[in-house]
Amino acid sequence: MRLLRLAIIGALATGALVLAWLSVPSSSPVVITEESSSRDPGMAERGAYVVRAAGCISCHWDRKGSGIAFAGGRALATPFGVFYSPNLTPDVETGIGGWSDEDFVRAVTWGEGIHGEQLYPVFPYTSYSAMGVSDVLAIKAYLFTLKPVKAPQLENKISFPFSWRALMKGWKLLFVDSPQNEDWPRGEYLVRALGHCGQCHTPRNFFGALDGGAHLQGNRSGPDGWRVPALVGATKSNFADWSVEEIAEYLKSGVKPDFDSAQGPMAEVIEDNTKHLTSEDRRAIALYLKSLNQH
Amino acid sequence: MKVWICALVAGLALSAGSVLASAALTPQQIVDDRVAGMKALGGNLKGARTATDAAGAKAELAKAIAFTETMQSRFPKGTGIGDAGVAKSRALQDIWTKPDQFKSAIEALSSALKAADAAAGDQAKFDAAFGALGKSCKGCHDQFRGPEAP
Ligand code: HEC
Ligand code: HEC
Ligand code: HEC
Repeated sequence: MRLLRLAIIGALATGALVLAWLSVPSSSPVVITEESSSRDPGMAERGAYVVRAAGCISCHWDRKGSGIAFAGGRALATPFGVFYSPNLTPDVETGIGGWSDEDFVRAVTWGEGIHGEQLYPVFPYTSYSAMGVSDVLAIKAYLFTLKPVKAPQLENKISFPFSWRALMKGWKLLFVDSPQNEDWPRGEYLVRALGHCGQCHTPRNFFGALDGGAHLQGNRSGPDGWRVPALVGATKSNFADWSVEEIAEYLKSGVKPDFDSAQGPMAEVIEDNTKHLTSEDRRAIALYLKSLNQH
Repeated sequence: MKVWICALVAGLALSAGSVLASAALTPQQIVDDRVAGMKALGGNLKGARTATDAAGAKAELAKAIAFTETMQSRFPKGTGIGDAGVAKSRALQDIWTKPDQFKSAIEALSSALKAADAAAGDQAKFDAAFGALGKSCKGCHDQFRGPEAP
C-alpha cells in the first residue's frame, strides 16, 4: 500500500517536472556565426534560387483560393487536423517583417516560433534541420525583398491533445536530429535537406515521424490521399531502371520514361521546385537517387 | 463447336475493341482494358521516340493514332471511380459531367500525335512535337485522372 502511494507520488512528481519542462521555451542548438548575415551582398538573389529548391512556396501560398504567393493561408490536411500556413512576407504585423536572422533560423531548422512556441512538423523542419545556415539566411534575404502583405494567421483545426503545442517539444526530442550535412554530395543535400523529398516518399511511424530506417521507401498515405511511390527497390514503375537522364527529365517536365505523367502533389513539386533548378542540380538529384538503387 | 463459338465471340469482342466490347464486358473489364491500352499507348510513344528511322517512328505513331480514335468509346458512362462494379479505376466522374472538356482533351492528343507524325525525319521538329505530346497526356490526366487507390 505504501509502495503504491509512493509510486503514485513519484509519477505525479515526474509528470509535474515534465509539464514544467514543456512550458519553458527551449534553447535551440541554433548558433549564427558572425560570417553570415541575411544582409550580405548577393544573398537575396541566391535566396530566390534556394527558396525554389526548398519548395517553400507550395505550402506558403493559397494558390487555389487565389491568395498571394508567400502570404500563407493554404490549408494542409493531415491525420492530426487541418493546418493553415503562416504569412512569410515581410509585413511586420502579420508576417515575418520583425524577425531577426536568428529568429528565422530557429524556426526553419528547429521548429520554434518567434515567441518560443513549438511549431508543428507539418512544416518540414525535420528535413530543413540539415540546411546550411547561409542557405536559410539567403531565403530570409529573398523573402524580405517581397512586398509586405497583410494576411493574419487562420486558426488551425486540430484536435486535442495535438492542439497543445508544448507537446511537440517531447516529440522533437525523440524525432528531430541535426544531421551533419557538410560532407553530403550536392544531390543528397538537395533531396534530404532542401527538397524534403522524404516528407512524402518516406513512410511515417505511429507518431507521424519519418521512419529513418526506411528512407524513400514509399508511403501509402501521402498528401490528399495520394499513394507516394518508393524511390528505392522494386516499384510498380520500375524506378530502379530509370536512367539518370530519364529521372532528370521527369523532374523537369513530369514525363515518365513510359510517357505517363506526374500528377497530384508530385506535379506540384515539379512545377514549384524541380523544374526551376539548374540542369546540373536536377542531374545531381538523379545521380543520388540512382546511387540508392545500385547494390 | 461451342468452344469454337466462344472463341469467335471473344475474338470479335477483342478486335472490335470499343462499342461492341463495352456491351460484352463488365465495367471493371472495360477499365482494365483501357488501362492496358493506355500503357500500350505509352509504349508506342517510347517506340516512336527511340525508332532508328522515320518509317519506324511513323509505324508506332500510327498505332497510337488508331488507339486515340477509340478513346472516347473506351470511357462509357458508369465505368469511373465509385460506379457499381468498378473496384479499381482512376477515372474521375468529371469525364461524364464535363464531356466537352474531355472531348477536347482527346482532340489535343490526336493533333499532337499527327504533328509528331508530320515531323518524323526532322529531328528538331520531332523533339519539339514530343514535348507537346507529353503535355497533352498530362493535360488530360491532371483534369480527369484521380489518385491511385492506396
Ligand atoms: C509542407 C508544407 C510546408 C513547407 C514545404 C514549408 N512550410 Fe513553413 N510552415 C508550414 C506550416 C503549416 C507552418 C505553421 C506551423 C505551426 O502552426 O506550428 C509553417 C511555419 C513556418 C514559419 C513560422 C512562421 C510563424 O509565423 O511562426 C516559417 C518562418 C516558415 N514556415 C518558413 C518556411 C520556409 C523558409 C520554407 C522553405 C524552406 C517553408 N516554410 C516550407 C508549412 C510548410
Ligand atoms: C508533397 C509530396 C511529395 C514531395 C515533397 C515529393 N514527392 Fe515525389 N511523388 C509524390 C507523389 C504523390 C508521386 C506519385 C505521382 C503520380 O502518381 O503521378 C511522386 C512521384 C515521384 C517520382 C516518380 C516515381 C515513379 O516510380 O513513378 C519521382 C522520381 C519523385 N517523385 C521524385 C521526387 C523528388 C526527387 C522529390 C524531392 C525533390 C520529391 N519527389 C518530392 C509526392 C511527393
Ligand atoms: C482524354 C484523356 C486522356 C488522355 C489524352 C490520355 N490519358 Fe492516360 N488515362 C486517362 C484516364 C482517365 C486514365 C485512368 C483510367 C482508369 O483508371 O480507369 C488514364 C490512365 C493512364 C495510364 C495507366 C496508369 C495506371 O493507373 O497504371 C497510363 C500509363 C496512361 N494513362 C498513359 C497515357 C499516355 C502516355 C498518354 C499520352 C500519349 C495518355 N495517357 C493520354 C486519360 C487520358
